[in-house]
Amino acid sequence: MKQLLRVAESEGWNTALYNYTKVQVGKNGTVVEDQRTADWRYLLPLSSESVALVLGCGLGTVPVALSETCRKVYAVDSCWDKVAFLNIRKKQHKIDNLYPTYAHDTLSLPFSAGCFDLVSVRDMAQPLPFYKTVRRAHGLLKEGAIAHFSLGNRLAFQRLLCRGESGASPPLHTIFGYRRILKTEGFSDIQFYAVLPHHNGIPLFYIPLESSQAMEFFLRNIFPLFEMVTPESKQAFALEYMVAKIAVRLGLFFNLTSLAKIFVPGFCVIARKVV
Amino acid sequence: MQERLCEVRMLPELTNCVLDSWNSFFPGVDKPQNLCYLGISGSVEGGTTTVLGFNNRDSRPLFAVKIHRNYDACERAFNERDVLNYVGTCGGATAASVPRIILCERIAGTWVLVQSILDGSPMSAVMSNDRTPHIEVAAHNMHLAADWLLQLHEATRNDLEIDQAHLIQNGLKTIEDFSNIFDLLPDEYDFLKEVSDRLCATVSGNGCVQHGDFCRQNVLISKNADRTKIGVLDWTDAKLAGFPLHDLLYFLTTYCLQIRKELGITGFVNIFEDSFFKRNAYSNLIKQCITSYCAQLRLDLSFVKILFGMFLIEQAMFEYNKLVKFSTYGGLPRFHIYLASSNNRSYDEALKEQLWIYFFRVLTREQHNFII
Repeated sequence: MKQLLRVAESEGWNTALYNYTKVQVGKNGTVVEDQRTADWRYLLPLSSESVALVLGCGLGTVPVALSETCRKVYAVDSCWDKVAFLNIRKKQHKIDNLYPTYAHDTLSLPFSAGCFDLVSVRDMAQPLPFYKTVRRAHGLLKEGAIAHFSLGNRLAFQRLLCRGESGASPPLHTIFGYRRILKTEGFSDIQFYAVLPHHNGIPLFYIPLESSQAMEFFLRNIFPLFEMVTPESKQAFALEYMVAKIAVRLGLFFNLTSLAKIFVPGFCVIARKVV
Repeated sequence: MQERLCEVRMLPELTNCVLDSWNSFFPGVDKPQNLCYLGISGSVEGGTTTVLGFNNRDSRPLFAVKIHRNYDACERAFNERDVLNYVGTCGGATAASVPRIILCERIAGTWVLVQSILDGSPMSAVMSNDRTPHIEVAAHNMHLAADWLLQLHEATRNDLEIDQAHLIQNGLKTIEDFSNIFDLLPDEYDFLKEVSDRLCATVSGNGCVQHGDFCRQNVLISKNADRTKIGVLDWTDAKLAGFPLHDLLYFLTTYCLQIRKELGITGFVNIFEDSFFKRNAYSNLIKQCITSYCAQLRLDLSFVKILFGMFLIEQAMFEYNKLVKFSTYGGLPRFHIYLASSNNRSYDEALKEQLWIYFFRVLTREQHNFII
């Protein structure tokens, strides 16, 4: 990140992001963020007067995307370098309604209670137990306002294969655990979407988990299209795809597709603060 | 300043809009109580994301919603609407093979295109052990694709007043831009001049509607009794008037790129050379396909190389312009970064890294071995 900042200041954020991503791709890694990272915004009932809070800047894609439609966007991160990079991006792109903000953790945010129309929670450098994050988000939201969470699944099949993410991460829950915590902390109208291939990269699919029809359609018609991806992608996801393929075939054969929601990689959750 | 002060309640408002006009949008179909959506992000440089609308009864989606992300959303949505509406008026099998436009509107500040669902699965291809596609499957697929394109050509050529002068003028401008942007060798400049000089003769009476992204993944195949039915989706990059052979060449060039055995840029280039410049069963199949297609169009075979050059130039410029536009939103697509990192390119050079310029160079270098 330090190198990213140096190049962003001297040569522009675009060049910095390119150099940073080039190194990742050169090591056979993936692009961390692109416009698709913020596609979940189309699922939300926002307003042009909305004031949004994004917890977890990432490389800035989500806050910048929200700033195109919201009145104000506050982007908070506990990683100083990420905040600094977003600030550079904001200045060079002349984004007036975006406010990058550093905070040590979600418990020490410099905002009044009930002032946001949207709180979007992504990864933060210092993770907290989920119920604490939800409680904090609840306090910051106006009555009837929306929270969005990007969450890993404790029973994600990749984790069961011991191919989960490395590094610090908040304690994970199952879909049932997340729903219970959200309800307990005062949220309703809770919608779960399975995010594929993972919740913390670039999502390619959002599958509504309340709809068995949509999941059935996905498993029968879209999942098999993985056979059509590039050889590089197949190589990168060979084991996960093989396991998922077996599970999908068994699930369809025994009519157990409703169990898929238990083992998906992660969730995009949209919930409304109870009035 | 980009428009920001707008209501954004997109999907909930779209749901209300669709349900309110249900009977006119979907005559004879029971109106659902509510709708839910499955999101499919697609390629990032494409600039669109798609959501499929479901009711709570059927596992077949009712409609598709294409959402345009970028600042030129309106122009792109209108373009696709106009082309699809035009093809729809042609009637017959051609009209039945394309999505029907249900709604093209700005819903809560976002341009969306609501389209009907086409039946079928994407056309698949199989690779043989000798790193060329399975011949029988490829022959069948090429026949289906070429047949459909001929129908499109026939349906849209006679009714549409194609401004040939405008088409050629645009083509020459594209060639000029191409020569200014990409660093070319002397032989490549010579070939550009040859394409430029002979372009006018190739068009004469042969322009038609162009799909623009006619890869096999956008061709849906379904079987009805003993008939094979084709559906063609993703008309985002379509044009009302394009150069002859463009879509066929796109289909043939991209046919097996995603099932190639070799990784990296070498894999792409080798497949391209095997397809168009080396003598094997697969290239012979391609040759037959193009020859037969040209015979149907009454297009002189000596024009094929020129049109192939024009096709690659158009694709290279289209890809470059798309990348420049896309880069303002941050980052480049992974594939372009991958190509750039392989050659240690700077950011400005990375904007020009793409397959089509590699293919153009092969065509120029190997034109004496071209199969036609």
